[in-house]
Amino acid sequence: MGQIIIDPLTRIEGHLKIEAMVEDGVVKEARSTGTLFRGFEIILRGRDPRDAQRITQRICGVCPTSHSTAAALNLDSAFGIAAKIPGNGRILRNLILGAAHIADHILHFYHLSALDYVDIGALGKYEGKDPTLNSVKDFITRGELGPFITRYNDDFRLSQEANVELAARYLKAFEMRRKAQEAAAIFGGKLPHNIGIVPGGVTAIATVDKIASFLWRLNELRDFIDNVYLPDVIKVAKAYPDYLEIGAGCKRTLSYGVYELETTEADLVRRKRLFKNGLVSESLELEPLDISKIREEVRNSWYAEECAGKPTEGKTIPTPHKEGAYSWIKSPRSDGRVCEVGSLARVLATYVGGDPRMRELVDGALKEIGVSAKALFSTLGRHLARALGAKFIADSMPAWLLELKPGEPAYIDYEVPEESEGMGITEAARGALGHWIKIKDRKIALYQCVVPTTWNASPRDDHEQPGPIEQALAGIKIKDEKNPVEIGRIVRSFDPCLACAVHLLSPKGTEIGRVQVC
Amino acid sequence: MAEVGIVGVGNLLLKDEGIGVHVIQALEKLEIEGVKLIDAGTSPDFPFFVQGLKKLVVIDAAQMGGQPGVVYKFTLSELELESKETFSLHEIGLIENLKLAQALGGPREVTIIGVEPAEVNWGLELSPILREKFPQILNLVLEEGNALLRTETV
Repeated sequence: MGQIIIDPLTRIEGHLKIEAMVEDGVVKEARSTGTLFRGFEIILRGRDPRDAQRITQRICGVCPTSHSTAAALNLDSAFGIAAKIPGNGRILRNLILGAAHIADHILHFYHLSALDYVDIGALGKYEGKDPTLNSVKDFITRGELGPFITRYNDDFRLSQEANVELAARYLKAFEMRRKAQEAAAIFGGKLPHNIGIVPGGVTAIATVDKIASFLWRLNELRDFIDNVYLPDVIKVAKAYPDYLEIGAGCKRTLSYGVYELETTEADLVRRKRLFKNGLVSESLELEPLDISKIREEVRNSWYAEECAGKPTEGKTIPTPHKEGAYSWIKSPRSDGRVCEVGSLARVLATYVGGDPRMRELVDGALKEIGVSAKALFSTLGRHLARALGAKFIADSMPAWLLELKPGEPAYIDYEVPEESEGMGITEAARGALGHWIKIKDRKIALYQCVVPTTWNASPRDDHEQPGPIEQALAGIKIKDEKNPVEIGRIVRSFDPCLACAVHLLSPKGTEIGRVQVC
Repeated sequence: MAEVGIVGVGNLLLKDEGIGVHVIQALEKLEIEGVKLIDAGTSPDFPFFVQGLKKLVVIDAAQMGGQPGVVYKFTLSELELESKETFSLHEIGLIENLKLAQALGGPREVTIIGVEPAEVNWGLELSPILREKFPQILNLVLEEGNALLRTETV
């Protein structure tokens, strides 16, 4: 029996390690180990509750906007103003988060995943005149692949022409991410780590100029999503049909829902949102979300047993020598069941929930590829759900821009209460994100975040049920144990993110030119 | 428009890991002209922040095994990609991002200032060792920035 370990610790600490036990070319069992010690709550304890909005954004370089949204919702609820946010505040929050999510979807497909399916080496034979493509070709022919390191792979199935075309889009997608970030910054003040989304609403005022400036960027993004991103995902799906079957995993998704459609409902579970909340299983039935059923289990995590429980009761007592444990990630479960989170979960809850626009969108794409809705539970199903999710949000934004009332307030004032509790549930691009707070003496007594990767990369729970990524890998055929491209494709489709916690530069190899300065 | 940029990279929640961001926050108070200051945090959007710039100073924590607080200086071409392994679960790291920025027409001249961390764990403040060294580190970054401002653009 062979063992494949993919452990990126050599480059970025605080990341994910995947161990797969392979027997006769098939993954028998997989273990996902999160090496990030979850303890940043310690930083928040004793601080002014309003600091949470600024500090939690620094948890992740990819999803700061989602953290700021979760924190603001959490504080709205703790401050008793959840049902009082002005209409403009609600819409501006949606627009800032929506633009950030679009950037993130594009990043995930083109920059984090496409090189699993697209042979960027095809540019080496490029004969055309595009200056940027030639600049990248130069890098490749100098043997200095740099950022374009192709994951060594002999399973590329697109034509030379299609490879060059998609490589060009890899570059175009950068420009699009920049446009989306610029759009988010129009109302967010700056990006990353926006300063616009705060408890009480948004600090920016909607002006006609700002609305127009947002709209023209949005139009370009919509054009890219409709004519490039979604068609590219469909093209890849057609070329790799087996990946519309494998990597399904637990086949139960959980969405908190996101993008507020009303301001008067304080309960976030009942509040009307663009993407609906709920759990969807393989039979395509929608089960209501029940936050009280969410518990984090720690049997296989390096935490003391008393750290198990509801997120609001969650303690963080590390026990690095705990026998049998293998991860710093806890195992969140809904009513004891394993759930996958992500765009797939949002799209499914909205689709099964009967949203007509989502039904048309999903059915149209599935028909074009020639598969049924069950194919969504798969490696490329996740990518398709991200592209469809990007389109759904982008198509919703023009109407929101028109709903804004220029010059009117987007913020209401509040008092920090002596004692209170709050919950902020929303969605990061990569899945369900929850913040919880307890306030005592106007200070943070407890702050907990349950982030999307906690769900997806969770280890076995108290009943030894493997987490979503672990389940997605079990039974996968591996062609070449030394080069398990299948594992990379499947794991990356979940968009796991622990990387942002630590970003040390640890140079290796050459010591030439190293100068010790002081 | 500024041709020279100073970029701080790192996570502000992890004490010395956030040295790059601490440096940028201190520089922002100095109202320096002609230099673009960028707090890149741990964002993958790094290549766009440096678009349009010709020269760059990057500050990050660098674990090279020296005494805590030691400052290293390299140019980008002196650094190999951290790993040439062809299979990993990584997102794109700093060096790849710098090279990517170059391929997209970004800064050609890049100086990297690495600071050996003393403590990397949860906390918003630098360790006492780095706090003591901080004025020196700041001066060094300013000197690098000045040197880039003085030299002819290639």
